Amino acid sequence: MSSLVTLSKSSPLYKDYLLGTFSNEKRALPIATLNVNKNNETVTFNILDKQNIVKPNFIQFLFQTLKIKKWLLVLFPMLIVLSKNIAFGAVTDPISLWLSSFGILFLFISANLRNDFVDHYWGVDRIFDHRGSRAIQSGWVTAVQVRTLSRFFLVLAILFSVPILIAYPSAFYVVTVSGFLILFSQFTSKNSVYYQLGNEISYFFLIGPLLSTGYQLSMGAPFDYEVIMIGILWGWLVLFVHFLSTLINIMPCSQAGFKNTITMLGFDKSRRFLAFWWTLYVVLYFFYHLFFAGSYWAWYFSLVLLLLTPRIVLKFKSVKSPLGSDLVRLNEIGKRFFYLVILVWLIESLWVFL
Amino acid sequence: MDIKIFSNKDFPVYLPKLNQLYDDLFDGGKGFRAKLVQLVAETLELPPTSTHLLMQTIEFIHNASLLHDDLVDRSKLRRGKPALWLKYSPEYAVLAGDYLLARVMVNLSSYGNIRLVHYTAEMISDLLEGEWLQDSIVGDFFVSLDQLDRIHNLKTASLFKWCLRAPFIAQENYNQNIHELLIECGTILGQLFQRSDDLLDFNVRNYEGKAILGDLKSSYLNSFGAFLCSDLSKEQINQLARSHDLDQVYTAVGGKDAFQKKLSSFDEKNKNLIQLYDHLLKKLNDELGPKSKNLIEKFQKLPELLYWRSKNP
Repeated sequence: MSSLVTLSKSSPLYKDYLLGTFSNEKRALPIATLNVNKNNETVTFNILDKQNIVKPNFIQFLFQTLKIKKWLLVLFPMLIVLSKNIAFGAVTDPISLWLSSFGILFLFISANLRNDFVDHYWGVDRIFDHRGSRAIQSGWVTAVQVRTLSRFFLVLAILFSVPILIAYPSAFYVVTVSGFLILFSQFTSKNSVYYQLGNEISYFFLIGPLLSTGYQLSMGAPFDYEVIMIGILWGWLVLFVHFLSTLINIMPCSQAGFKNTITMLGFDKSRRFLAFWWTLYVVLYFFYHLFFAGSYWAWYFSLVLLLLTPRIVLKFKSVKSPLGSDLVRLNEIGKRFFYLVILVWLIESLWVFL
Repeated sequence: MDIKIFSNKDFPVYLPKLNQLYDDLFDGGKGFRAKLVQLVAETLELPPTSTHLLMQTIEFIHNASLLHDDLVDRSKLRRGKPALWLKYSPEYAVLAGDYLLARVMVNLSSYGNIRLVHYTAEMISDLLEGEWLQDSIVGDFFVSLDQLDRIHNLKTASLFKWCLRAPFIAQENYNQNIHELLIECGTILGQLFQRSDDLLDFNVRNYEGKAILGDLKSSYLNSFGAFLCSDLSKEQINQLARSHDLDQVYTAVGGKDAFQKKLSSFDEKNKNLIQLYDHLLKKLNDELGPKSKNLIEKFQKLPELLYWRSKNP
């Protein structure tokens, strides 16, 4: 049995329904929202009995709620940094290596869950129908449960990282800068981490150079410029995928008043910007390998990427609508390129062990 | 309801063909949007002159959009007659549409309610944005219903929202709660109307006998088309895109039964929308003053008329 309830932000019950604390037996699923992200926001909830909510099996539930697919964003650069340091014999402290690996993963899970919570709280997940895990929107968990889970993983991440900070004070600087950027992202805007210009820059540093450098230092290896380059290369690639997914949402982003790179550039300039961003990535990839890896990697793999580049550049040129299937297809091609780079880089990193 | 939306005196007599063009343009239209404005305005007891101005405004804007729309889409027929850009010229069609929009601003600004002028200008921009976006997806047979909804919200629903809200603004009732609910109700009505209109193209509840498959033949996948395609293979979608009659459509989607099944789930989806609309009307009822409460009963009948196309809701 379902019923509808409409509440505005000024209502004392609004938060209870949004966070899911209004009842232990029922769930409130937002089905319509007016004035998202504004003081006069009004949300209509569909009230369902908890037992009537269709839940997937436990594995799928975990997979989706914890966004396991996204773990690649931190696990992959960690693997690259690790394989580099194993190859150079620079890993001196395996215990701290394990601690930092889990610490980073837990921090990432915590950040993702918090993002879902924040998106739900501020209505971002009601603007973008397909964003996030959709676990809250589907009624599998309440927003407040997601927030608790996020805090749990944050505590775990802190517990795992304290011994490393004591053992390796140099890692402390990286963590301090990262902490500052995370706080900046959380407090400079009420929106999702991903939908503000300043936060895109923070995202680049956090997922790129800071992650790679911090991870290297925490395994007892010394600082070097290669790890910075790995971080830049990875952050650049992740931002490419991020910009693409923002381009798909340029219309709702713009209507909701979000100011990020894509909405500031507009549809036409963004397409050119992204084609340029990808081309520059191929150049960066080439020079990184030329200076830090064998020149044959630089030539062979850069050539593969270079040969593929006209395809995506032409696709950027041919997309004519900010809505429609063409843009969706472009996003798919971009993601395929992203996975291809990962595959190529993975082969190269593991090659030394063969 | 007998409504005379415009008089030849509204437009300069010395402009060649203009009045003739407008006679042709307004002839045969149902004036549904004007009637909706009238329904609200009369319940709110607006003076007849204000009611007429609002009715005229919405019809001018709607008909200006038709003039431009037919030219943009290169449609050859409108209401069973040759499209006006063909009968007169593309240049006259553009200018006559622009002139109607300019007239709206002149008339409304004379009324003296700046909020009404501002809101109307906003609505016209939404309408144009919708037109622009719709043109950008012509030929896209893989577009999703969600994406089309965004366009229809600008192109169709903006007018319905205006019909519900403008009489309140003309009455200088700016109660925020009322306007928010009217926006939400107008959005739903616009979406229901558009979806029902799109169903006509597939000869569903086509009681007036409108020409069918016009959208598909113009390489435009409408909302029901997108819903039909949502779980079809690429080959099936391409087959649907090439359909010239309903039998070919049925074959593309897997038979007439499969088509009917899809129609039922489309109706079901829209019933949920109507349920939400009814719920919002209850909220609106709590906000309206005693004199305007009659509106709720009238509003309740609208989904029957707009979506189910009942003659006597």
